[in-house]
Amino acid sequence: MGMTRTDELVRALDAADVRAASRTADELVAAGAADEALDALAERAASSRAALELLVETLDASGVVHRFAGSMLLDRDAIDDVAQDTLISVVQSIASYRGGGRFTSWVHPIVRRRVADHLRRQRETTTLDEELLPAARMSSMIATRATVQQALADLPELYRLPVVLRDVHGLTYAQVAERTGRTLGTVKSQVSRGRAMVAGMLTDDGQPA
Amino acid sequence: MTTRVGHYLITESIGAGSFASVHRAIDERLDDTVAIKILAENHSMNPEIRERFIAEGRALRRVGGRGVPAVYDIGESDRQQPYLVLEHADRGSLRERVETLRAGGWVAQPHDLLALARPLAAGVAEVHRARLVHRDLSPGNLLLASHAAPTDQPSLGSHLVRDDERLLLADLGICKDLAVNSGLTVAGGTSGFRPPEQDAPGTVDTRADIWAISAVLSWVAEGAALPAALTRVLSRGRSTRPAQRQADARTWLREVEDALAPPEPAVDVPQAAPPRRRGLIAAIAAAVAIAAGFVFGIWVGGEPPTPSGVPGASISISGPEEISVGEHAVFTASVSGVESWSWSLPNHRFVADEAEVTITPTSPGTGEVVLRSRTDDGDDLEARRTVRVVD
Repeated sequence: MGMTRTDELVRALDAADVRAASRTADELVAAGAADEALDALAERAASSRAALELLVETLDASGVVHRFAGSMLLDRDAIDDVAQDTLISVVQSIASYRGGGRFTSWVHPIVRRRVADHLRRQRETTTLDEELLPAARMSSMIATRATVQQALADLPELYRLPVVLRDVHGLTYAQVAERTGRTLGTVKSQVSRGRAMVAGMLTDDGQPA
Repeated sequence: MTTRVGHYLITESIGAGSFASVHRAIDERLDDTVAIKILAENHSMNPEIRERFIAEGRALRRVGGRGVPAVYDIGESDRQQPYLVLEHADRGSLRERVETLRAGGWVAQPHDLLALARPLAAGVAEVHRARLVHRDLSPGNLLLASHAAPTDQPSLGSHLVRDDERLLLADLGICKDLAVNSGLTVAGGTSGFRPPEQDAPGTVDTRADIWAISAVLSWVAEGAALPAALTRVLSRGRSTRPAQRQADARTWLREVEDALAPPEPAVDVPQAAPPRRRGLIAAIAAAVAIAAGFVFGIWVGGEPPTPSGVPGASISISGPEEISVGEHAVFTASVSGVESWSWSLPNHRFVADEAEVTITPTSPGTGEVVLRSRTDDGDDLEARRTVRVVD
């Protein structure tokens, strides 16, 4: 059953049918087969922007990053921050993913490194270090770089508004939630995914990829 | 100097290891004494060690029986150190207890060994049932705590593990495990109580704990005149090859009990059937007092049952299936083809070679009367009878 749905997902991706791919990925996650969906998406993510975006959504929706972070951290906000940093790191290093094993096995050490960064930052509490963390860096890049505008414009509608409100207009998550009529949790997740997707459209130094 | 961690006021350090330290503390909200185990500050920056530490708390919670310390909470200090808030073992460790007793000239008696072996096997069975291996059972990690409420288990009158005490298996060796894998220490476990397979990286299964509890019991029994049968049981438990050890804690305890049986009669007197055999006085009254969660109720299970008969020999029990509290109930053995047998009664007493036994339950519940024998050919026979006790 999992195999046939995964085949469907692959077919939809090959046919550039984003809606069908997204629906199938959702179904796989709901059926507890997130791993199969992630493996299929990750294999194509380096060469297909649609696959990369769907990978970000599916990885976040599967809860696996939160679960990994939650095995090392206890504070809910810390777990959220690390999960967001991880999504961005995953997108930025997806070109080095070689397949073969489970995608989530590739993600786990990334989570571990982001946890280590987070703990170090907490201890040092310098704003300079904070700038170096993926989420903070993407946030300021989105706010300041003209080259990001195109990436923002290319962001799926669902994510564009919360990211623009949060990072360009500098609203708090609570204000973004109020403005968009979405829940706080939804907005946090959408900003997190949106930033990761923008990261996927840029090179490391903020130029269009 | 006093320190606060969360709403816990640390009063005294009660132990330190290479990864974590343990402190006695006051829970200021609930006004109770607790133990706080906190990960060392330098290790708190290491995601992998944090993961193991947090996993230990979750594993203890999953075991959740009477044989491990209760986990009340998990938290994080403002120095990012994860900490576990645990039940405080107010009577110290088994090591301290034995050393104190020995200073007074004490040598273990069979009832002391039983008083230890029973909760030890029960705790190990709980840990194994949660699909965990403890890996570091040693006298310093076996703690004693006073009962919140007395149980209705029969009194053994031991000074080793007293009737009003619980034995707790502390410190699941998960962090130490990591130390082995990362080369931070030579080996997991405590020297002298560590099975040979833990000296090197490799597969460690539940039988590692069988080795360790055999070593603990041997250590406690040092200087005692042991029945040869017990020495054999404990040597088997410490076989180098795990496959030669007792398969599980249940088997281990049964062998220990058989080797030590029968313990001194405790308190009971009432009488029942007249003497039947060899003119011995068969005055056996036993209380069907099955404490919830006691060892026999929580076996890991999975062994093939022992037959009640083989060609040429059989045993069976006749007697009531349901009795009332305070009522004397008589169980009769029907045996053929065997010379000798033993009864195992619900209060964990053993009676050899009697045609009948009488039990007098003191509380409602379910108990089991077991009859065991062995043929000349060495086949084990076993018959069981479950008794419901109603008010």
